[in-house]
Amino acid sequence: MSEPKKWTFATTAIVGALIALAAIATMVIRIPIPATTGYFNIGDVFVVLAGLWLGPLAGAIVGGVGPTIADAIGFPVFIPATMLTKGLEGFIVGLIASRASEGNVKVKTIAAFAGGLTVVVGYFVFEAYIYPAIGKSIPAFAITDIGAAIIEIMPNTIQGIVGALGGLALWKALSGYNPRK
Amino acid sequence: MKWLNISSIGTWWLRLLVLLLLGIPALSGWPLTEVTTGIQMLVPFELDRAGDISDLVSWVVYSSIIWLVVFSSVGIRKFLEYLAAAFIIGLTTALLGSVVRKAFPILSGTMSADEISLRMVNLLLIIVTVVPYALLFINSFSAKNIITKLTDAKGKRKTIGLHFALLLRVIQHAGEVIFNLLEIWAEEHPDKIFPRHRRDWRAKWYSSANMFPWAWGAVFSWIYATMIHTFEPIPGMVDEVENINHYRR
Repeated sequence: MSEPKKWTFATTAIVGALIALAAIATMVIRIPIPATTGYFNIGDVFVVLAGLWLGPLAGAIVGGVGPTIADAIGFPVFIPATMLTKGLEGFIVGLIASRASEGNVKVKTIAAFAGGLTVVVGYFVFEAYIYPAIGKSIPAFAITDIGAAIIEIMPNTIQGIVGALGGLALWKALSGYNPRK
Repeated sequence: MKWLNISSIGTWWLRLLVLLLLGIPALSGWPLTEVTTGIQMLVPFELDRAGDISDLVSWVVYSSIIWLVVFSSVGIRKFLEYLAAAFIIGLTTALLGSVVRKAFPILSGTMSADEISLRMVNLLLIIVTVVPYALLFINSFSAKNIITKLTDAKGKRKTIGLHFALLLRVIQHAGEVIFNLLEIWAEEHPDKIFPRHRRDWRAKWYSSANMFPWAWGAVFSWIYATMIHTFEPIPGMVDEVENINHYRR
């Protein structure tokens, strides 16, 4: 198990950069899914990277804030789902990854794909059960049902896989980067 | 129109309040839904999709107000940069939505073609309104001012304040990188953002297949370039804030 990382100014700076990059990547490449009025994006790459690189807290912050900023632009109804699902994605990736030594690629890979799975399950639960339930009292949330949630499993799975693979690639490329050098 | 200039509001919390009030319609839909109902009542005859069209009209009104405030606050050059980014994001999203409707009808669920088309136009309007607003929001607060004010402070308040200022500064910097990158690529490497500049693509029946590797390459070059330029000045920013944190009078 790796040592818990101390939160420094460098951590804040990297978290800030990853929040911005996650928001930008979520916004710039987004493919709308008409059935749920949601969309496919590649912002998960930076959420997975944050969890792998900086641990569960940073992963949760980047996941909970970056893609949520992007949702506020055009898809505000998805803000609660995204904040919780992506926050949990970053947290789970960071939690599993922090159980292994710095260079343990096997555990980091498992962590990245666990993050992808969190996205698929998280959005399914929100779209199939939570949003229809809230929609009964707040009509703005009545935009999905179980049928639409099933349709979105496929794009969400692709998004999870792309996020895991991209995050792993970037983690490998950046693992030697030290902002204090 | 000096009174529309958000950056001229001296008190930071008043500026924040005005910006939050301006953003309410985009986040909650209020009072746009009331405006939509009002517009519908003005139409003296029955119209197909009158509700959707009225909704688009109310978004055009809101968009005009936001654009006017952003223009008055940041000036013509920045305003056009914000609009360029907004239209790139908005048009790609709306066009990709239409492609999905045609290419993968299963992803449309129970929505009709008309409903999807109107949704995409609405989405374009929302994006070209909210992107300039979000950029104005982020850039309305000066990280440098916060850092200067905290130089003589002491204890945890100083450290937490410096963390916040650093976070704001890095996020503002990342936003700047995107515009600079677009400008540099448009001038020096147009082939990276406009496929029509690829002169090596011969006019053969399979030419359009080049689009896929091009799009893949463009996305990855863009991600790497954005990351490199975003991370580049971070060591300097961290050093500066650490020095201020350790500074004692």
